[in-house]
Amino acid sequence: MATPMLNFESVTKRYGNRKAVDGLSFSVPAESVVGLLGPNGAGKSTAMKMVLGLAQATSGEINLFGCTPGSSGFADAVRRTGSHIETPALYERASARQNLEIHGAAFGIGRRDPRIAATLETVGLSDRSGDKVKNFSLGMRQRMSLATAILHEPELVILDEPTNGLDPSGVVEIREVIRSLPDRGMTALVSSHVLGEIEKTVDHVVIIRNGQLVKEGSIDSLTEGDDETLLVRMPEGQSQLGCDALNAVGYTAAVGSDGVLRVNPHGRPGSSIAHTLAQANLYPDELRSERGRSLESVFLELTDSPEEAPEPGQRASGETQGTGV
Amino acid sequence: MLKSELLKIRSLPTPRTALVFVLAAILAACVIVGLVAPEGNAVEWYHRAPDFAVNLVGTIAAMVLGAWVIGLEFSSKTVRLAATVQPARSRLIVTKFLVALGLLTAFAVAVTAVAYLAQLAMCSIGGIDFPSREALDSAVAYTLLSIFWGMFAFGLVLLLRSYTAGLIVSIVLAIGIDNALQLIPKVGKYTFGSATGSVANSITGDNEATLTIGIAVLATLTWIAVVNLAGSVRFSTTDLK
Repeated sequence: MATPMLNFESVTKRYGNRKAVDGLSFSVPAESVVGLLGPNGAGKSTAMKMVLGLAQATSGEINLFGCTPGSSGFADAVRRTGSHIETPALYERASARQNLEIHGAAFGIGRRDPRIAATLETVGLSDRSGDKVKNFSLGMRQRMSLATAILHEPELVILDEPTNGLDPSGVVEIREVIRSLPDRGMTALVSSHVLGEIEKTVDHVVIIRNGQLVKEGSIDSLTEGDDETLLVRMPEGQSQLGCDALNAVGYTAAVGSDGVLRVNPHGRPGSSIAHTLAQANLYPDELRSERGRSLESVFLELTDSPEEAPEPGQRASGETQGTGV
Repeated sequence: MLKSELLKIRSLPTPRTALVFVLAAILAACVIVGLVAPEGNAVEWYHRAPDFAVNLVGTIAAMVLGAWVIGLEFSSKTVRLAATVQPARSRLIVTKFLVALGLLTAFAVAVTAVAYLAQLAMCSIGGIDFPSREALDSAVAYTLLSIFWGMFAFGLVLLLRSYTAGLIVSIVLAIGIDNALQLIPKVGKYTFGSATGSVANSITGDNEATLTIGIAVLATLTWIAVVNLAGSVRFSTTDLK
C-alpha cells in the first residue's frame, strides 16, 4: 500500500454525550479511490468534516499530508484538497461558469483559464455554463459541486454522497469521473449509500457503524468467498412481505437497494425458499443463485441494525433507500 | 482569496441592486422636491431631499452590503467551501472584513457623488447657489455612517451566523431599539446609534451632538470592535455545519 495521504488514528468526536465518531482509525493511500460506507448517522460526514478542519476532533489524531489540525501547515494541507460535503455549496445567483471563476480565483486560476471550460466539460455542464445555478436540478448541482471540488486539481478529493439526486446516466458519468481521478494524480475518499455504485467505483472500502470502524479492506478481499446468496425478485410491493416471511422461518433475508431480496439459504435449496413464499401466498418473479458475496450483503451483515441515530446536522430520514444504508 | 471576493462582488447581484435602489431613491427625492419645493426655501429643500434619501435608504443599503459580504456564505451554504479555500479562519475573517470595508467605502463615495451631483443640478435648474460646504459635510458624514453601520451589521452576521438574522437585528436596532436605549439616563448617549449620530452631527452641525466627536468616534469603534471580535471568536472556535 502506498504512503497514506490521510490517516485517522483513534479519532473520536463527541456532540454532547453522543459519540459521532468513536476511536476511528483508517488510512487513505495515495492515488486510490477509497469508499467510506456506513448507515445514516454512522459518522461519515463528521469524519470528512474533521479532515477539512470544519469540525474539531475531541481526541485522537488526524494526519493530512503529514499535518495535524492546528499545526502550522494544516491550512496549506486543506488547500491541497477539494471537497463536496453533504449538500452542494454554490452561489445560486451566479452562473455555473461564474461559480468556477470565483472558486478558481482563490487558487490562482484566472477567468480565462482553460481548466474552467475543461472541468465543466468533465462534469457534463459545458452547454449550461452560462445558466444561473438557481435554475439547476439537484443532479446538476451535484455535478457543479464535483466541478468545484476538482477544478484546482487537488491531490485529495473528498466527496460526500456525490451521486445523490443524479439520474442513472448521471451516476455512470460521475462514477467514470471519480474512477479517472487517480489517473489524473488525485486520490479520492468517497462516501455513498448506493452500495452497488460504490462497488464499481472504489478500490478500497472502510465500513463504519456508530462512529466505529467495522471493516476495512479492498473490495476483492471483502467480497471473496464461497457463500451462496439467493437473489429473489418479488412482484412490485411484495419484497418486504417476502423478506418477513423468510426471516420468520430462519432464513437471513434483506431487501437490497434495488428491491431484490438477498437470502442466505443456510444450505437449503432454492425450492424450499419458493415453497416458504408460496405458503405465504407470495410468488417470486425470479429466483437465482449467486456465488461469492456482493458488497451489499457484506455491508448488511456488518451493519444491519434496526435503529440508527441521525448524525448531528443531518435529517433523520429522507435519504434512506432500501436497506436503510 | 481577495480576487475571489472581488469576483463575488462583480458576479452576484446584491451590490448592484443596492446601488440601484439608493440611486432610485435619490432620483425620486429630487423629482418630488422639484415638484413641491416652496420658492422661498428652495435651497434648503434641494439640499435636504437627496440628503434624506442617502441617509435613510443609503444607510440601510450599507447595512445590507456589510451583512452580505459575510452573510452570503451562510445563506448560500458556501461557508464550508470558504473555510476550505481559506482554512485559517482568522485570515478568512480579516479578508472578509477588509473587503466589506472597501466595498462600503466605494459604495458610499459613489452614492454621495451622485447625490452631490443631483443637488448641483437641481440648484442649477432652480437658478440658486449650491451649498457646496454643507453638501460636502453631508457626504463625509454619510460615508462614515455607511461604514460604521455596514461593519456593525457585518459583525452581527458573524456573531449570529446568519445573513437574515444579522441583517434583521441590525435594522431593528437602527430603527427602533437603539432609539429606545438612548432614553436611558447617562449611558443612553453611548449607544451605537447615539454615538454614530454624534459623529455625523459633529461634522454637519445639523443637530446638537450628544457626545464630543472624539468620544463619539471612540464609542462607535468600540461597539464595532466588540461585535466583530465576539463574532470572530465564535466563528473561529466552533464547528461549521
